[in-house]
Amino acid sequence: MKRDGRSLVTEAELEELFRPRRPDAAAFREGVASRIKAREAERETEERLAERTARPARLHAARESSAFWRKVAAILPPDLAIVALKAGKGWSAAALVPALALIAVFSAFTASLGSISRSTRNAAPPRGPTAPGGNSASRRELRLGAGLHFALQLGGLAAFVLPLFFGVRWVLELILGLLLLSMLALVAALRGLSRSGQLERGAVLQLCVGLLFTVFSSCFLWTRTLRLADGGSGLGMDWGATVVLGGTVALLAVHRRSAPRANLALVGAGALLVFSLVFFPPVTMRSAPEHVRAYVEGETLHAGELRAWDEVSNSVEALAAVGASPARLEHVRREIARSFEADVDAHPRVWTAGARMGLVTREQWARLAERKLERHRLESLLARSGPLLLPDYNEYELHMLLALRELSAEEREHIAQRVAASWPSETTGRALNQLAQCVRWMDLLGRSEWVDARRAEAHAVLERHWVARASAFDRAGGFTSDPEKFPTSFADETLLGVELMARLGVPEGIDLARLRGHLRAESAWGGPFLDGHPYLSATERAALLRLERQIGLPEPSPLMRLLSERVLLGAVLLVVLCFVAVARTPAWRDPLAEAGGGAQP
Amino acid sequence: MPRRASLTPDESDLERWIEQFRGPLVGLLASWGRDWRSAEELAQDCFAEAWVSRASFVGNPDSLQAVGAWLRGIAFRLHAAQGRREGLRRSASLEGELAEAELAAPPAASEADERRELLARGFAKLSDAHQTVLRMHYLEESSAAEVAALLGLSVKAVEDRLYQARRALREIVDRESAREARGVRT
Repeated sequence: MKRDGRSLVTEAELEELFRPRRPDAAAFREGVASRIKAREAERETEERLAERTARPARLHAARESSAFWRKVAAILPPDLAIVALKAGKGWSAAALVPALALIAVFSAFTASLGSISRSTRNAAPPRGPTAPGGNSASRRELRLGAGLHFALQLGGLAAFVLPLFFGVRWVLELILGLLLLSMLALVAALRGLSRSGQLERGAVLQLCVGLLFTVFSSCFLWTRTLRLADGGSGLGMDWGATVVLGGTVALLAVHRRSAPRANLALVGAGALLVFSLVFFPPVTMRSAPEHVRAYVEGETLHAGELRAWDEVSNSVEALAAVGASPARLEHVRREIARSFEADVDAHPRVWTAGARMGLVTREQWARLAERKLERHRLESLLARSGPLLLPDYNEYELHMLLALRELSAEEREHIAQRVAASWPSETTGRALNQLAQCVRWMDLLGRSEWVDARRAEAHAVLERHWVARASAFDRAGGFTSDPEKFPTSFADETLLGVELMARLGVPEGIDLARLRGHLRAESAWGGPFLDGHPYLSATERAALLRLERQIGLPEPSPLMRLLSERVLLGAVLLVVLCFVAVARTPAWRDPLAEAGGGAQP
Repeated sequence: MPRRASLTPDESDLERWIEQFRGPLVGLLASWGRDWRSAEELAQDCFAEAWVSRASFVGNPDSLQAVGAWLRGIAFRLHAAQGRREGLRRSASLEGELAEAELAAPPAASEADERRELLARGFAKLSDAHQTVLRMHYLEESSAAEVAALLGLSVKAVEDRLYQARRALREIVDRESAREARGVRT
């Protein structure tokens, strides 16, 4: 203080400057004493009140329940549970359990808001720098928060492992349970911080960001990437992950000055969000007629290759079935024409696709029939008897036959009898494919009434091939080719199932909402890196288009819509809770940096 | 420092804390945007809160750093809580602020008053950090160690800041004086 003293304003001058503002020591001491007196009186009153209300509760608790269960009861108010149970009398367990899970999450959210408010209002004063970490109550709360956080991580592992053994049906409820657990972990940690005098915005921000990352990795990362959740999960699994990551980024962006290295965390979370959006984009549908039409018009086909012919013909048939404007098919017609040239080694699948799209002319069929093998096939249709071998690519034979000659009634009857002999039973191998071929052939032969009379048998085959439950890595909500060997949904069989249901009606055992959920998940836009291979989802998109516009689904009630989005709602509530927790906690800043607009001497 | 028998603060500790930290604490609260009267009242609240919550104080009550950090935390929390409450009635307090401004700049009468007014004007032009250390140090001639304990800084850092603040104040005052002299000549 002595250096360069002559050039400074003197200490006496500065002391004189502040002298008028100097507190009177005696009055100050009196002020402190009166405040202490008032606070102690206030505290005594509070303690008396607490003692009076706590005694009966303690007695009751000792008789009825432990402290843990009282906390659980506080989080899920019994009134709400009773209301839910009463309301759910007529519901199936499949709707009641999600409803109860959603009510539990809402209740946890409101209880957590109250707890956060109390924690921030009644925070203990901060400790000195030598404090080892709070009293026993605060340590217990912090341990509880850490324990719940650990349980959350274990729960994430369970959400990954359990579907392998028990199927994917209750994964959404498990995730909702984890979201509820994360709310409890946040509340417990905040109470611990509050009681130990460490409640400040930077610490709470770090806590919330860590929690949201844990929730993302536990609840969404693997279950979403590997599609371990039920296909009928609405938008929750996709948008839930985006909400949690987006919430983390927003939280860090808004409060980046509150914690050290928040900017670094912001960059990391932002990068993860971008990565997630690019590689695993949230569900974006591409099944509207214009999308299907755009796919057909943009697909490149080659007469000598098999790739994408089925997908294009399925899409063209779906557009026609729903009455949408047809696609421009010049490029398809050109390749179909090439496939009939002698020097092109085309597969029968190309001709079948062309026939189903109505793009083959009589001359082209005639040219094909000149080939020895094809002539032999046509003759065999009429000359032989007994069941037909009906692989899905042989349909062109009947189209060719019908185009080249007018069949007599006897000839039609002969072929129809062969098709009828091929009609599958429930247990026939690849029964669904065989059934679909039989229906198509009968319709082409003008024997639709024969098919209509066997509606019940067809429904039995459909129900047997419906995949209602699946384990992890399998897909429920569609149709399979073989329920014994492959209990998972396949795109081609699911499209056939939709086509058959559009033709023969929907069996009772098929849940159309679940089917739509499965198709929505499978036909969603796969992101820019899969955008170059749209044929990968073309069959599912055609099936979804036919399901929604040809069969139609009843509009779900607002309540059912709410329930189907329960994971998304839970994720939103958790993010809101984190925002509230950080915003309500006072920010801790350097006392010097905090200065500004101070009183003047 | 001799070892204490008990680490629980007693009344003599409170008396000592008040003596040590009253000036710096009022100065700190005044630096956070409070008027002097409000800063003094809030400082009283801080000491009362510290006493009522003394059971949760972990540390040596004789340690300047431990008590400084403890009081700083209480001050910050009470200041934030009061700020939230006052946010609703900020418009009503404008009149009080005007009165405070009038008190801060009384009309100059003598040469000493003119010098004081010059210093006050110069002080208002200092950076916030410089104003803060000057308030905390000179309000009650507190030691740099007490100011440092409350700010969570080293004593050397506070001494440096005080030196820089006084030098900056001198430069501003000199500049103002020269300008006034030129104004008189013209």
